Amino acid sequence: MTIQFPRNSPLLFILAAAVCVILVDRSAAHAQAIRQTSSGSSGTTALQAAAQKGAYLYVFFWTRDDQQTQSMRQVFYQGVGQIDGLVDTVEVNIRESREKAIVDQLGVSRAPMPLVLALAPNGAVTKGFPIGFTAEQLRQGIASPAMANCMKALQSQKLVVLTIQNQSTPYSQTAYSSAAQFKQDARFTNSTEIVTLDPADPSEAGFLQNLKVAPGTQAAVTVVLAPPGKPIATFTGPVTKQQIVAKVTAAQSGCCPGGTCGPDGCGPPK
Amino acid sequence: MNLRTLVWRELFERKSQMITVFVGILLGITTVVAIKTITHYSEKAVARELDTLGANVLVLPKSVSLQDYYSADMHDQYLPEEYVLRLTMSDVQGVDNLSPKLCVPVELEGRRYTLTGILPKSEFSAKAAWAGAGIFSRPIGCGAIGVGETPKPEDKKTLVRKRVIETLEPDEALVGSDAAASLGLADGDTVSLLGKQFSVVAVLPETGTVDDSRIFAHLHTVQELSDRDQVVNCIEIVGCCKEISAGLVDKVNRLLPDAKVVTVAQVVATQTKINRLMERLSLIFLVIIVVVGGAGIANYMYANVHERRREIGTLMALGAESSFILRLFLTKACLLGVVGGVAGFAIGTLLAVTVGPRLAGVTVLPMPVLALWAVLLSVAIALTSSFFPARRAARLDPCATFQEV
Repeated sequence: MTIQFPRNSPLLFILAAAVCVILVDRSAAHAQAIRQTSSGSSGTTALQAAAQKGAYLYVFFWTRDDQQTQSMRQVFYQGVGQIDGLVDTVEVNIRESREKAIVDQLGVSRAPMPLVLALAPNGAVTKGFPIGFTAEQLRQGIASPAMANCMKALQSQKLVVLTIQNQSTPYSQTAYSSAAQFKQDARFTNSTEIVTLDPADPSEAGFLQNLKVAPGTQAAVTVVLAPPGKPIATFTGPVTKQQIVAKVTAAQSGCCPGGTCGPDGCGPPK
Repeated sequence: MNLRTLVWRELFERKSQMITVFVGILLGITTVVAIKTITHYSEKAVARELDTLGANVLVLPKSVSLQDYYSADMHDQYLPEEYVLRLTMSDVQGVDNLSPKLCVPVELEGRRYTLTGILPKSEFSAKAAWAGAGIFSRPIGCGAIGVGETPKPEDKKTLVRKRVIETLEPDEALVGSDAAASLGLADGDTVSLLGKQFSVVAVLPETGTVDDSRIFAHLHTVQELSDRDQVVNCIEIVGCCKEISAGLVDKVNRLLPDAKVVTVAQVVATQTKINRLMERLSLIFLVIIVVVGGAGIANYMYANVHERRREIGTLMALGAESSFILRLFLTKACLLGVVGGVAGFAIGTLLAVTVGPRLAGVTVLPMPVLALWAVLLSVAIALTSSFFPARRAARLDPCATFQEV
């Protein structure tokens, strides 16, 4: 059945007007939300609001409203405007006492200013842009979901066992159960997070490239990451809990997991 | 009259000449011992510094020289503390650890010490992750990871080796071995610095460097107590050698254009040059001793033999054999050499121990092994120089000497 409205029907006009009002209202509500966080009094409030919405929050920290700050502020808004997806912004003057909570939380009281921090919805700082940056560079603050999860755990000083697998990668079950057994080990249970990543997910391609893992990997890959982001072991295919423990133990007790120490090597001798 | 009596009398026969020769030997040996001692400890300090720090980079204010850095960082030039976070957040690879320092003088019990503010790793290490995705592709760094099992209490004494510690509370202090010894401080004691009470959490092991006379506290506490802004005197970077050779210094220079960035390799090269210079100086003095001292002794001995040929002739006429005359003069030379060597070692060592720390910025201790070398060298020069005059004396014809009467 087709409903046909006569031309210039008042009902159509009312319906169109109602739709317009709803759209304008939603847009205004969103704009209001952004404005509240942008010009809001508290960075913490903006942080909470962004987390609730699942949005990234770009925080512009500043201390002196000098030429550099003004110039970077322009770049900041221009750059954030170009980022796809839901992104909130907020400005924080670190000298204002009401901002002490977020300044202390992020530890930026002695950081170079102006400073932009990109925060993922889970609270992880995904990138810092001190003093000078370009609008394009601000896009680097958006991390893939798995990367943001890894960063969150690593910034909490935890080990990350990253299981790169999906239903089509062989040894997925073995690798995941070994990772789970490792996490259940009393020695590591409180300081370990397991993060799973689908190698076929195109949004994770960049992260996989950083980890030197082929996006189309034929077998499950397990990567152990230590803070702030050191990959201390990579296992392709089957892996046992003992192998993971051995690598972590070596990294805990060894001086240079990937190099030599002393005057001819890197870092001080053990 | 036996040989000993004759030698003793012979020594004091012409006192002024004898003293001149003795002073010649003494000065030469003193100089060589002093230079050798200072050079030895300076070389040891450089080796230890290298061994302790591994590959290292220093970030200093532009106008500060390496000499200023070596003299306990006590200079009035500063860097903003925010440079630490600029480095931490940067995408520069190979920066393994950072140790910013601010040094201020403090006086305790009438003696001057250096209070050094240091920033524990916990204050900035987490911010390394702010460098973004790039951190995952960085080479594996140096140093053990600190997660997993229940963390053991940190051994703060590792500061002297690692240059950085994980945590340090605002009211905690670490005391260098010399400072602790002179102030009578031990672990758990309290010490008042710039009007604030600090708890001594560790007395650091001896390093033989200026660190022994330092007292370390939290950087922010030192800044506050000394009315300084958020500044530091220098930032030590423990970096990976491979990255240093791959241009780490240039990258840090570009990141911090208002600072001077040097590698410890450059510092070591400078110090090694100074050491080489000291070695050469030591060699030159050695040659001067051999030539001037030897010539002086030889001249003194020849003159002595010539002036006293009648007395020598009389001795020989009375039955003294040539070998006796030879022994007489050589024993005299040997005595001069032994006394000159021992005294030269003593004065040289005293000079090195007192002046060395000011000259080379390192603690200098006596080197007993040099005593043997000093005496051997001194005796060898004295004997060699005296041999020909002594042989001449031994070959004198008593009849010929009497004919001159």
